Amino acid sequence: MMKGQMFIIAGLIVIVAIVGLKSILSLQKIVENQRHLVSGFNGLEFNNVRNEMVRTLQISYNDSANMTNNLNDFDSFARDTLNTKSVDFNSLLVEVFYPTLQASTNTQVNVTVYNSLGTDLTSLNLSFNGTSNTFSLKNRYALRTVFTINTAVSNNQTLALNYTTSSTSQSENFAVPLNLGASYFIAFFDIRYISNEGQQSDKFTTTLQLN
Amino acid sequence: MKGIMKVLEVVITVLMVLVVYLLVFSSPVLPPDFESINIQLKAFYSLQVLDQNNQLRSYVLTDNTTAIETNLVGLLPSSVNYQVEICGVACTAPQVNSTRLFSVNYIVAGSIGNYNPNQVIIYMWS
Repeated sequence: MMKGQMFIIAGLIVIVAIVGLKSILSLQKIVENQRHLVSGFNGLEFNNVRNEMVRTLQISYNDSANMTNNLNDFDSFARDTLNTKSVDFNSLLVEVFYPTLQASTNTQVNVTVYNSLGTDLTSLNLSFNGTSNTFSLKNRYALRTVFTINTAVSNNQTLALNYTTSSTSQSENFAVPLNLGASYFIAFFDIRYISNEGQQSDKFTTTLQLN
Repeated sequence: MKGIMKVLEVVITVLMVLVVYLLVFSSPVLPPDFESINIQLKAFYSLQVLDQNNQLRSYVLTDNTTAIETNLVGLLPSSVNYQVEICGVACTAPQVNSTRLFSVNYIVAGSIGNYNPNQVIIYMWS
């Protein structure tokens, strides 16, 4: 009698296992598909913000005095807009501007760093043309520093950036073209879009000759 | 007699498992309902195309939501109701009598010589 019941009980266990397996498989597929679609949609939003950051510089072309302000303002706008959708948008912007460069004449190169990484930079070191300056920079603050250059010929210089936060240390180098007779605005972007579905990020440089 | 009963119970168990297996796995897998995400993608691409055609920025500059809505006719399914808003960071969603309200945002930094960031939001419901 007991042996016969054991077959029935074993059969019921197998049935429960089959039904359970089926529901897990279906749920997993739905979640995967949804995650894939939403992640693709987030990619579109991220590219929208990325493209508009570059466009901010292009539309400010005739107003070079406000390029830095406009870019930092747009960064805040994008972050606040995305925050309303529970998306974190973090960034580090480095903007370099110099007026028309004359041969063998002292020219000021303005460097602005805007920290919106969501954390303070406990140490920020900028090196350019043999000069090095160290600062600290709070989250959502910008700092402006000036380097002086004097060159007889056009050349490329490297701006080196090293920063430390409470959790990481990072180094970035990017080329600054020093062309006689020209004025330039160069922007380095490190942008990160963080949502429940994952993270999208990009680092890129935009160079604009202003005359 | 005892042997026949045992065989009968095994047969019943096998049949039970077989029937349940067939019921569970023979039914077609229904595609998940991703309609709202697909519509959001369509709406976003529509705004992107309007932008690439150099229309969107002038509409945003003149706060012309009607022109954007007119351009969306035929691009979004007719079963979906929609309303376009042009706003800054703080935007107000329309009051609609539906539990299924979703939206897409498209950010515009401005147009040449006129830095003026705004977002275009298409609120959709069905």
